[in-house]
Amino acid sequence: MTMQLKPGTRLYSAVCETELMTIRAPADPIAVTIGGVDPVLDAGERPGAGEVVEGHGGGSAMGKRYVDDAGTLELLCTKAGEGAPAVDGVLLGTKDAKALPASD
Amino acid sequence: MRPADWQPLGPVWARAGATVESGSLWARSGGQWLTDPAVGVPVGVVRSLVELVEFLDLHGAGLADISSASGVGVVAERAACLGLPPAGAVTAGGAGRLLRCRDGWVAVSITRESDIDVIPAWLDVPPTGPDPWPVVERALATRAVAEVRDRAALLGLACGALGERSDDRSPVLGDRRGEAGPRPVAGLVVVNLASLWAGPLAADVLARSGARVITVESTTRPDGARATPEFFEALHGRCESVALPLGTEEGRRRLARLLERADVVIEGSRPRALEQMGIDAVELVERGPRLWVSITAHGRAGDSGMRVGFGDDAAVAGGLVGWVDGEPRFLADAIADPLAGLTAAASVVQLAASGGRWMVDVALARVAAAASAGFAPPEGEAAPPSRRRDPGAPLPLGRDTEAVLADLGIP
Repeated sequence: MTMQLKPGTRLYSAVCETELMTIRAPADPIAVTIGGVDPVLDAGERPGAGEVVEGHGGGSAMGKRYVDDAGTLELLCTKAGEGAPAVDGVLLGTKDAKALPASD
Repeated sequence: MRPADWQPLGPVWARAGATVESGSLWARSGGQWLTDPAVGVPVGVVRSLVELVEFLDLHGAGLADISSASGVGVVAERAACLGLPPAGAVTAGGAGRLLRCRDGWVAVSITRESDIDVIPAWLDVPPTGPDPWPVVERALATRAVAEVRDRAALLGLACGALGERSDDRSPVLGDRRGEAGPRPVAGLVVVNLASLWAGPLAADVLARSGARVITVESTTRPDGARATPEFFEALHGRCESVALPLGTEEGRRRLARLLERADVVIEGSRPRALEQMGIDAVELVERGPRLWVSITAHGRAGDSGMRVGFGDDAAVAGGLVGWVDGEPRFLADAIADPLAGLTAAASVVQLAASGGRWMVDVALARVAAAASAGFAPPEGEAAPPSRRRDPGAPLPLGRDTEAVLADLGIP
């Protein structure tokens, strides 16, 4: 299933604890999954059953930013879980840690 | 492992009833110069600084000798080094603002470009370009404080709701994890992982009191304060510098060994950042360092431990602001930073002397709340911020890495 994301859209895994927030999104709908399964857009709609698909484990880590190769998609992990995020079946990579601020 | 049991640690440096010449000290410190003239003298801030400086100087820190206004001038030393202007509804450092929401005020700090990238996700607005403030200000005016703050927290933006921690007036929490005999500060090995102001200030004060301070930075993400050498050198002139590639297994292994060999660890990371590097602070403190001092914006525990914050926005969260015509103003420069740095150093002095193994939680917002005590009319001419009489020394990144690791027997 494809879905249209925009900055601020929150994604909740249907099969694990992972929660993501969209930081950057492509203009067109994309087929994003978490743990290999379509996520839901509302925490209350989680089915409460189902498993992480093989090859889509490895987990998500709190505070990590997941990006696609094209650089059009960036998803921030706001809650860690067992499933990893992917688009069109391809697992997303993580972005390097941000530089430390010089001052406040 | 038993769960954390955080207790307020009564600050032994507080001297209830003692007279403090707060008006004249504030005027001479540079603090008044850095604050909107209509705000007045924040008597609780001056009292806290005086108590901390006197306690630390009794143990050899010598702050009254190097800083103006009997040591209270520590509050303005960053501004002096950086040449900062006075604060108002914008911070002295320029990166933070007090902004009105529908139902109250928040303080927001935008310190790096990656913060600007998340503003569309934070406020449901289009990308803002390099100056995000007009868009942010307009969007916040229609939003509720709690929603704005909670979403900022999820995104790792520094945003404090004015007064959200006002009632949380225990500056230091401690969790006793085991036994250890009393030790003087002189001779303690302190490993400092913290950057910017509060953590390095604490480490510098302990160095002045005779501790051996080893500052550890990532080779790829060094302390951002290095961009302002005068300020960095003032706080790091008495340290050794170890730089490790913390993105690699090897670097993390060496860091873990170094932490085991410390008596005191000072750090300013959110707990998950260290956990993701495989560092378990509680497990370490039960067998390695006797004191693990976390300096964070909102404390280590629970959801607060995930929040980012800096000295100005955290002070606002603690309710430590001035008021002019019903609108809040920042006090001086990142006021919670010097207060928290001195508080952390004093906690180390106190707990080393009394003994025990402790997790120590110093939260900028709580430190600020504890220093809120109203205002008195200003007294005297406001002196500009002044630098320390002791300018410190350069500390090239990683200058002492091999020597320190060899000395501590870490391969």
